[in-house]
Amino acid sequence: MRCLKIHQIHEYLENQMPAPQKEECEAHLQVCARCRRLFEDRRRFHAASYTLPELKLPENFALQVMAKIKSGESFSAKWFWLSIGSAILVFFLLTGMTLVRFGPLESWIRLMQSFAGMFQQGALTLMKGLKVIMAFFQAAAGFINLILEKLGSLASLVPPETPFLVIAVFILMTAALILGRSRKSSLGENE
Amino acid sequence: MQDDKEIIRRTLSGEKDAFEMIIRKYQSPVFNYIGRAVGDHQTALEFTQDIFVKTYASLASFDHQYKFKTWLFKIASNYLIDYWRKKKLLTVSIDQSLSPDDDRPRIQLSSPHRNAEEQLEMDELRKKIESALEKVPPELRELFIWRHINGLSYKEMAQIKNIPMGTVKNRVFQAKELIRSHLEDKL
Repeated sequence: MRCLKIHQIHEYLENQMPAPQKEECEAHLQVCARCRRLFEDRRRFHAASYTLPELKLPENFALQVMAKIKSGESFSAKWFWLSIGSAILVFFLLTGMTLVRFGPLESWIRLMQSFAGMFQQGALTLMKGLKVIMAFFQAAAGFINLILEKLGSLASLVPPETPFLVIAVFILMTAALILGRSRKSSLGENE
Repeated sequence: MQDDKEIIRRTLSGEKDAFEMIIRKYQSPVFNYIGRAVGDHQTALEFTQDIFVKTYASLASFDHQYKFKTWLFKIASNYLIDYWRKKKLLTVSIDQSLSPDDDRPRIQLSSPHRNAEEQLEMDELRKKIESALEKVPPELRELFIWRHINGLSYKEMAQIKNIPMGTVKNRVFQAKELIRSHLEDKL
């Protein structure tokens, strides 16, 4: 066997080497002083690095962490209730300020006035909207009249008996359709 | 000791104090990892606390098909990555990987002729390794700690870092040789 590579020595020491290769390695170490020196060096390194002293934690470490977890939770819960409380406080504060500023009756009147103002504003907007719709329909009606006038001028070019012919054709077509349908349905019954 | 997943289930169902069992079980491995990685006792204490608080907060997102230990170390590793990023530390290059083969560390530690002198020598060597570890780039240091101090398997390490097992082995090898070279500098 050739001289050992450094990674092979580490593999051997970590028991990561397949058994046949391991035997070869051991046989080589018996005869090669250079590899034996390298091996001994890495063996000492492994022995020391796998037995480094354990870093010690304070006895109450787990309790400290749990306290931190719980304080974090109570902190967020505290914030939730604090924000709810603040909102209620602001509401009462504003109501109180209104009552103090205008008095109970006056504040009610002002409230009603503001509602009436809102309704008035709404009605005005609605009226404006209706005006727009009316204008649209007027324009549409004018356009239809214009088309009808044009059609009227075209009517002078058509012979006077044409409407009668159209009506006759329409009646004939309808009759043919009804007859065809009744025939089809009677055929279906026979089948 | 109760199964991790059972403790998590209990914690999530409202029995919050059950999480203390998780802390007690993993506080030492996490602290030893963080302590060696940052090299400062007080900082390591704070970080370890934060990691457990973070783990508790994201417990609902734990996927039960994975090992809790792997998940916890992943959280710790990400925490450190953020820390190192803030400190603007450099990362290292990655060499080609070795053949994949996984096992827990089972090294031949016992020497046939150990004596007091060798024990002293070992203590001295351990101190040197500790100080040399600080000079190793964070990415390699982390894997070395996981392997040599936390006793993680190569498979577990690969899962935590989401990289091939061969790459993990190669990086641990790099870390070892880098530490050794720093030891030689000291001699």
